[in-house]
Amino acid sequence: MTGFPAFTRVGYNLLIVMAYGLIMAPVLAVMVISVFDAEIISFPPHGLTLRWFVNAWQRPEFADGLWVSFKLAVISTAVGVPLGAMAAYALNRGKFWGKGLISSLLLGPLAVPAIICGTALYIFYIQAENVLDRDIVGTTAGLVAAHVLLTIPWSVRLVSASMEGLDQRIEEAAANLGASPMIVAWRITIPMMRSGIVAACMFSFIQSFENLELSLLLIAPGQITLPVAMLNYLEFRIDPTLAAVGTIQILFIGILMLVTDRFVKLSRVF
Amino acid sequence: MQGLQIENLEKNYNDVRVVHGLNLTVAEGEMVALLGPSGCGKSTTLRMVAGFVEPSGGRILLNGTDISGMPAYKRDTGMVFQSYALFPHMTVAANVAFGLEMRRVPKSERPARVAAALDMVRMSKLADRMPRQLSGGQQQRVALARALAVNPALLLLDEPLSNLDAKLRGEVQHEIRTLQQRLGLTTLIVTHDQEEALVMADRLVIMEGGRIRQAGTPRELYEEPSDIFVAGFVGRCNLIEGESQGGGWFRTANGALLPCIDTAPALKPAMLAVRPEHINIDNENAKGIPARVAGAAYLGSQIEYRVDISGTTLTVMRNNATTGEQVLPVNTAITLNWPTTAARVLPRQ
Repeated sequence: MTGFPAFTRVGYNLLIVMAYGLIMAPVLAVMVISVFDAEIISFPPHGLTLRWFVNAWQRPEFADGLWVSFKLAVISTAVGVPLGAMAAYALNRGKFWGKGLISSLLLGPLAVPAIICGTALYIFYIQAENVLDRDIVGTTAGLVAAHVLLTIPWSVRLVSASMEGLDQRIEEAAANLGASPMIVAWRITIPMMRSGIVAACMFSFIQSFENLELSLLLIAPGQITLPVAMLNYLEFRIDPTLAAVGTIQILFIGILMLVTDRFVKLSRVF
Repeated sequence: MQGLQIENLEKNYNDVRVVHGLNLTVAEGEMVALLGPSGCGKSTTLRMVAGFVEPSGGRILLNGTDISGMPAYKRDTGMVFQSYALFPHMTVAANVAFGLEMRRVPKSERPARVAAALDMVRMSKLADRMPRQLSGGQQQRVALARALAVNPALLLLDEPLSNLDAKLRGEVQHEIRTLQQRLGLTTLIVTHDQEEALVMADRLVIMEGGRIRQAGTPRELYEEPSDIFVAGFVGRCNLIEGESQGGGWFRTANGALLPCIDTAPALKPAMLAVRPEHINIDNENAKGIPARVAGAAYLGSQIEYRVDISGTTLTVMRNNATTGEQVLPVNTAITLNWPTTAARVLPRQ
């Protein structure tokens, strides 16, 4: 039976390669197609080109969309992460009734399909408009509020995870040395939760940046986010320009993850 | 009045009382150890003094001021935690400086005081390291320096050595004791390790079930334990069931008659407490209690015997004073004797 371990080892490695292949296939496919030199995607390609990238660059809706998506993601993260972090702090340290319920509610948006969230929010906004007699659908505030909803479950989950591993004796030590509760939070607790907060920021940003379903129903004319711009483009043409835009998006997020990893080891957060 | 006074301190968690009307004084410059098994209430007591746990009743006075209702950050105490609890995102120097900053020591004075505190624990060279770069013993020293830097009116040590290996623990015990005596620090230490308490403290307070069993100097507790719990907890002790006959004799449950200290009224039922090292082993024909060797272990500096007196097994420790001392074989017939003052009669619980 000497050959058996070697055999299982090969099988094990093959399984890993296949699993990663399966996960990476769509991403790789997008990147490959983006350099195919034919308007109608066919295999094998007639030739390779970068003209779709040039086209993507020259069409204003993509550059504008990228900028709108970026701004929206930054604002949503800046609003959502502090809210989520405060909720996580309260859930971890507070003693109050209905903790489990609140926790489930905050994590809820993860469990509900985004398109249902989007539709529900749309209907809710319309109803609210009727009652309040103000515009909500199509306003920046309405869109930011919807995206903040997306960032909250990630922030609560990731910050909670980093708080659970925190030795409360360290906070007691600070109090013992004369730090009031506010100073303990600011100088000790928050810095110690840094990795969780950074990870929460990154995931919130990505959630908002790539969201199509909520934005689709709630954006204002002239404030088209990148995913919506891509969908619009798709209604009229199917050429590899979208693959080029997708490639840019993938690289953008990839770079973001690498940069984050330099400050906080992501492997330690999960 | 200087020092720490604890008066009728109580703590209930829901309906469970974990500390019962505790009274305790730590004089200025004195080191007192709260010693007991886990769950005896010693840590809860320390945490009430530090202000992390709110007492259900009673008072805590520090240098004459009632601090019972004061938040932890206003109390003038310096605490060393079992897990050291160093701030992981700050350097050693910043850890030590934190308390000075919180107590509004002028910025210009801080570096000198940080240096002095680190110097005391011989950690000056590692001032710029991060806590994760230090060994357990080094972290322990930094934690001590951080607590001492603020010149607290009371030093609190919560099982400070239990995460160190045995050899290092011995060294640090003496070091902390020397420092505490040199600085004249009023100190309360919590430990479950009796050796640690004996080495370091001026007085020991033995706790069990949220109550004080006995308080006294190490010698008092060891030589004059007031009950069998204390006798068994501080040092090793043979506890023999039976009854005191009066007139300096004790009858074991198995009927053997043993010499003991003369208790004026006969106490029955009772327990006889004899320390293993107070028992002499003599040859078969000598005067004393006939016994036989049931087991022996060679421990280097000592030889530990298990001996049998008509069905009652005792532990006897003999010093290995001369080289080549023979270990008595099992079943050797021997005679035991001890000074009557070494055998104390205690109430059975």
